[in-house]
Amino acid sequence: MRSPTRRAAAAAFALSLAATSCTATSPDTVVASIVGQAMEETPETVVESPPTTVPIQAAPDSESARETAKIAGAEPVAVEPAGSEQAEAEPVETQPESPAASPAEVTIRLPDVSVVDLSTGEAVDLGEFVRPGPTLVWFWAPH
Amino acid sequence: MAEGPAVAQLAQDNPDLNVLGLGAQDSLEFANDFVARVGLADSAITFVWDRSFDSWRELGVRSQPYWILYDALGNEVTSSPGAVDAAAVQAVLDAA
Repeated sequence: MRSPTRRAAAAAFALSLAATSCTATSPDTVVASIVGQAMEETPETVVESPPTTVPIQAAPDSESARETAKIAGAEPVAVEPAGSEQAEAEPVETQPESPAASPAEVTIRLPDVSVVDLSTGEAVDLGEFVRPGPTLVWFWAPH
Repeated sequence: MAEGPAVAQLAQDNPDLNVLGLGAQDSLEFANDFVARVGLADSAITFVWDRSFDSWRELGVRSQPYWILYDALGNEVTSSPGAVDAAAVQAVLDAA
């Protein structure tokens, strides 16, 4: 299969022969116009190469994009494990606290005041009268 | 102190209820005489007397009589000035 350039050249040669023999037109002019057409057609065939070139040129872009993605992705990867470790650490810290706060150990808080136990006459801290179970504190005065 | 017998009855009917009679004002001698006179010395109520009045002050008690009911977990269930409402206390204990 002949190339378009060679076809154009052959056509130009044939036309130049015909023009020389049949008309009075200058062969240079005809050849120039034919060659010009051939030159104009040439870019059409050349145009096909850019599509093949574009992917080649795009490859470095995609590679660089991948490299950029790797670089950009490295930071989140480094952060994510740190964040996940913290997320795992928090529940571990809170879980032991829950059993420690046993409701059974909760008792009423009476003021840290020395009072007189009327059954014995001795001074006793008010907190020592706290007992398990419900408590009714009745405030009274002698008068 | 007129509600004394009712409180003593409440304590007797509910052995698991810790009833603490926290007195203040006047004098220790007056407090001892008073408890003996109303016949509550041998009751299930634990009687103590605070000379300083600090316990009342810290608990926000500004008048007497006054009462506070705590549940078994130490949470204040209810409190009120005036005589102890034995029926209300009993209702809370029955509901627990």
